[in-house]
Amino acid sequence: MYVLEVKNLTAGYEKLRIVRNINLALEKGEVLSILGPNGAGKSTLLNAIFGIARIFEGKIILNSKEITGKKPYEIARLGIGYTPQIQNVFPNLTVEENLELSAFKRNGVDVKKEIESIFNLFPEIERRRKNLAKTLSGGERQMLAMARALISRPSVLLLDEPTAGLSPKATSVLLKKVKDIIELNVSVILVEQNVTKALETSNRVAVLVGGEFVYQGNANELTREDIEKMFFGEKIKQEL
Amino acid sequence: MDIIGFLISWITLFSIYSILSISLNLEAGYTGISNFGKAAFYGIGAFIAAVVSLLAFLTVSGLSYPLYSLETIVAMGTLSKQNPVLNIIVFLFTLALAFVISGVAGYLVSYPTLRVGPAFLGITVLSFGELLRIFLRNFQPTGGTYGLAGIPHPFAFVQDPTARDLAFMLIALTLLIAIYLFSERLVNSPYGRLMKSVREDEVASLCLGKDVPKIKAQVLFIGSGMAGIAGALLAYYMGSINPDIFVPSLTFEVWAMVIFGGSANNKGALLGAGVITFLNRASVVLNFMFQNLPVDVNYIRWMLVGLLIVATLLFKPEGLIPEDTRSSFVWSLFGEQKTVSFKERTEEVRKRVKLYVKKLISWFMMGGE
Repeated sequence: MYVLEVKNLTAGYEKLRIVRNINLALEKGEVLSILGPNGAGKSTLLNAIFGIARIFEGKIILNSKEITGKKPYEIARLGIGYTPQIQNVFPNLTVEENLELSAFKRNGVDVKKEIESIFNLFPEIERRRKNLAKTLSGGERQMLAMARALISRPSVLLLDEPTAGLSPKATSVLLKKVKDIIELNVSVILVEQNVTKALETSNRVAVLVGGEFVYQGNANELTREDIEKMFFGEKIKQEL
Repeated sequence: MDIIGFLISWITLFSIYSILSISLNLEAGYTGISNFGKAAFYGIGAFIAAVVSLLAFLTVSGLSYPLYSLETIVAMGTLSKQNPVLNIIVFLFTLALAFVISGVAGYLVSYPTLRVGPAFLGITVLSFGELLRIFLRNFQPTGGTYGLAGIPHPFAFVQDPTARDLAFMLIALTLLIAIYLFSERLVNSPYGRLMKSVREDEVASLCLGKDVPKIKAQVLFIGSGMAGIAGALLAYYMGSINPDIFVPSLTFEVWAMVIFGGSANNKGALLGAGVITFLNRASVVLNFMFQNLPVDVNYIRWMLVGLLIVATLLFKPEGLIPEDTRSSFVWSLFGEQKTVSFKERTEEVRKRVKLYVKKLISWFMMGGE
């Protein structure tokens, strides 16, 4: 049984259809990387799954329950965590306050315990717990954003380019965290520009070009060169 | 000059305006809602108090005069002194009613625009305020442009006018303290963090499963309700109200209080209200004392308020007491540095004030560039 299924999804903004006929299925504890050139529609796909973008056609099913057309706050409560590429933390709140916000209003949850268990996963931000989020480094910010999404115990985590603008070292640390996250039985959809790192981190990859999937398969069956060819495939076709 | 009378009127107005500035601070400072229609909800509270209290007294006495008539004003002069229990009951009931009706109005007016940008909301409530004012100017049952007079003072049965005003001042101050404590509690609770998260980033809040439009609507209900209480207090304090009291410039005076005192800090809202209401009262007294001046002192007050806003935005855009008090000017002088002597602190104040004055003068010399 799949945790998340997307069937024949066409989505975009206002009248513009950006992604078309998207089909994907995510298993429990799996990392699916979505790769593609800039403007391919990767972030739009995540926004559509999370209820931010407009859905024209298709269905989204989470844990056997249809969530198509639901509002973002309802989808979050049903078990999807989303970490957007930018604006993913509250800069003028402390690290601890950022985490407390996610835990707020969940019945029967000991907020303090939850925060401590998240700090075990992200010790890098524990020492900054009393600092304002705006004082964190880029990597620490991304870790805080991931920690904040995880504290609500989602079954699926959507990560939109978490390594954008990070140093190679910070990128490695952060992607190592993604591997740690799946140990918690969380499935991850990772949108990533760094092809090599994405292949190392994920179980499966899907390549999105021009708003449509051109490939879906196991990560170990592909090389960086194969994917780069797919990225340029569209362009070559157009030239021909 | 009657110093006691001046202080009583200043503290009463300070209490009323502080309630308004705290309510705006909850909306704009903590939640990022641009409420440019504060005067409307303040006006609703004032008219609710006026209409309901006049109706209550006339009904209890078996009179059926129109609310805005001379007969009503004359009758209220006697009726309001006869039954102290009725005065207090009507006063408390209208305060509660003003809170609920203004709050519901805030919620309803803003709800359709909560899902769009802050500018739409700001313009919608500003327009609503103006529409309401123009409607009331033409609505004869509430006196049209003349408004309503003879609103029964809750302590009208007290003979001595100073004691009466003092009692009202204490009530207004008590309400201010209660609202201040409630707001402090609210903004320091998990709900307060939620409000700040909406202000910081609506999309990020949505991603955490927060119902952003609902949170904004709830804050607008609370803020508008508080403005309604302030309006009711104003109606009782003045004894008469008319629609033209609630012009948009009143909204911007409250914004000035929040900007000057410090956004997202209730102490800042109090400081702003204190300074601006002092200027307000002082201009009334000065106008009375120097009647032959070629310029109306009221205009000088407006210029001073404008100057305060410009100077604050130029040199201390976060206000005198900013959100994070640990980094504020006041905190740096009197908060953390317990070991620094009073003399050293005052020296620091002198230096900082001198620096700000220098900056202001150089700004003027440069022609405002």
